[in-house]
Amino acid sequence: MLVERWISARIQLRVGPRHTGPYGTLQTVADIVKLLMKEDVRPVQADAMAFRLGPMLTAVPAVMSFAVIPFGAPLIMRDLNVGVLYFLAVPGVTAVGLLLAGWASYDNYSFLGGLRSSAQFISYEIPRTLVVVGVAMLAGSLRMSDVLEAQRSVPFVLLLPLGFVVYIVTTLAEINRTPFDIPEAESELVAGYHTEYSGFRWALFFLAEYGALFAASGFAAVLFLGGGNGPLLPPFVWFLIKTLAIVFLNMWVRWTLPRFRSDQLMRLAWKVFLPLSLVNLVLAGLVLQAVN
Amino acid sequence: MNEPYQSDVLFLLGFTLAVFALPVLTILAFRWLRPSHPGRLKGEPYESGVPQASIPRRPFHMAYYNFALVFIVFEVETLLLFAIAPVLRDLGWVALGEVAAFVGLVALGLFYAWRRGALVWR
Amino acid sequence: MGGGQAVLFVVMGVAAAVSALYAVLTRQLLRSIMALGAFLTAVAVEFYVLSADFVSLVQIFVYVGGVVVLMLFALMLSASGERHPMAGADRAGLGAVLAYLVGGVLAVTALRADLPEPGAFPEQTVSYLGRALLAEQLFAFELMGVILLAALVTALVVVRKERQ
Repeated sequence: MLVERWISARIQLRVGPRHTGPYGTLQTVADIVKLLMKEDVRPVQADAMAFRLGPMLTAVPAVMSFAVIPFGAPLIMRDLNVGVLYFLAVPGVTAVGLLLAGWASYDNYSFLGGLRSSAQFISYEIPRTLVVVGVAMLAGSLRMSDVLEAQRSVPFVLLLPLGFVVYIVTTLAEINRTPFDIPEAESELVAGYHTEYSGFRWALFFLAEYGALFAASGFAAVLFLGGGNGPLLPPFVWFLIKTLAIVFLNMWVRWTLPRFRSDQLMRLAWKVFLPLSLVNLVLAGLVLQAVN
Repeated sequence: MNEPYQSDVLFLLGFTLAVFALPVLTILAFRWLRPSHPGRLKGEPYESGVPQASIPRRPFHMAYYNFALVFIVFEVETLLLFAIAPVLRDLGWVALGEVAAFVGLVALGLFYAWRRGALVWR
Repeated sequence: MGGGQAVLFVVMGVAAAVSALYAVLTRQLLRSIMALGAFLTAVAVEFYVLSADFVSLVQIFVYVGGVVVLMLFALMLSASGERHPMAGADRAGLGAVLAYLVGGVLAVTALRADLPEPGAFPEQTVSYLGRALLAEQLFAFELMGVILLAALVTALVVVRKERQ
């Protein structure tokens, strides 16, 4: 988070956090403490249960997806038989959380933001999932360690460059980051689905966004860049380098590009990325034949 | 029953519970530390300082629903592809042709929805 | 079935039954949908406990991340408020009779069914499933593609009709 603020400041020629601790390194800690001590405001007409459940259902899946990410050879919480699918299925619940949060707030901005977020979320989910099918074809397994093993000689990004690009862009869209952050277009919808949230509950949405960003980047590093595979350095370091490279790419895009319009976003998902992901599938089939 | 699989189950359940419990406990723990001064104005929805002009419980664009419908169909197709993806490597090109036929059906569905204008946002 | 597995199975079964009951009995539509989501999740866990990991995740993916979202959209767009449309509906009696009938038939069938003893589970249910779908179940696999296409077409036709 701190790093994102540094990068954003650099790109926009601002100074960025500097004062808390050396070079502002304690800024995040200060922010967290502040958020915990803040009042928990809830609109009177809000549906209490949905209002509480919304942020939970947004943040919990993001954290849970870390369970199957191989942080380097032996460093994986659980190497499930269906780890790849788990990573895609569990964060899908986020759409429910976004809708509940937007609806429960009893606020027009939140309502619209929640609808838009989840519509965008499910639209980009299809091409994103289809692209991963291509990877599963080449790897011959849905187990994370097998996916890594299959890339020991050639990382999949070289075999499926199109798939890699589609995955990165659809991921950006799915976690609602610029240029795909229309659901929380600040100039238009205040803050979207989390307009009415404050303090710790707001922090949960924040956590969800960053958790999802890191998880999805790590997942991309494993699927396409061979995760912890690499010479000399220990696997964990390789994994970290690759993940952070993708995270950095994300942040760069976020602070540089303008925002798309709602209808452009949906058109992009269904008319560009979905066909592209089908093409990627065909390519994966061809590669498979070439390799055999 | 194989042991590692069962431990996967337990781990997933435990992890889920822990991840749910943590924020709940944090919120409860800080309930005594954070201020709480609810007020009439504070409880109003925030709409940039303007009083709420309309209530957010009103009929809205059908488009969202349509997209969700199309989404579910494609989702199921994708998951079927997931089921067969891992074995394709060992099965040769007859199987590949079978899958190609299925992907053709998916593409046909996309084409139909496209031509029908179901993918246009309005 | 091992002891721990049996305990988990029963616990999740009870959770599923309770949330299903709540979904039916509550008067608030939003609560009803959320309870349905809880029920579907519990069933997914049951699948996982019974070593059908792939099916379990499909359940989460399609039902919790898809069908529940669809229902929430329906609720929010129709703006019928949180009131359950069935609350005080005059055909509730008929619905109850139908539900009991269907439930009864299902229960009798399930109890009388001659289930085979579960054999050894394949190490990886996914590859087992995939192989089956491309070999002996190939017809079913392609048929599913056709059916899904038909479902898509039908859904779009119905939606279009209602717009006019």
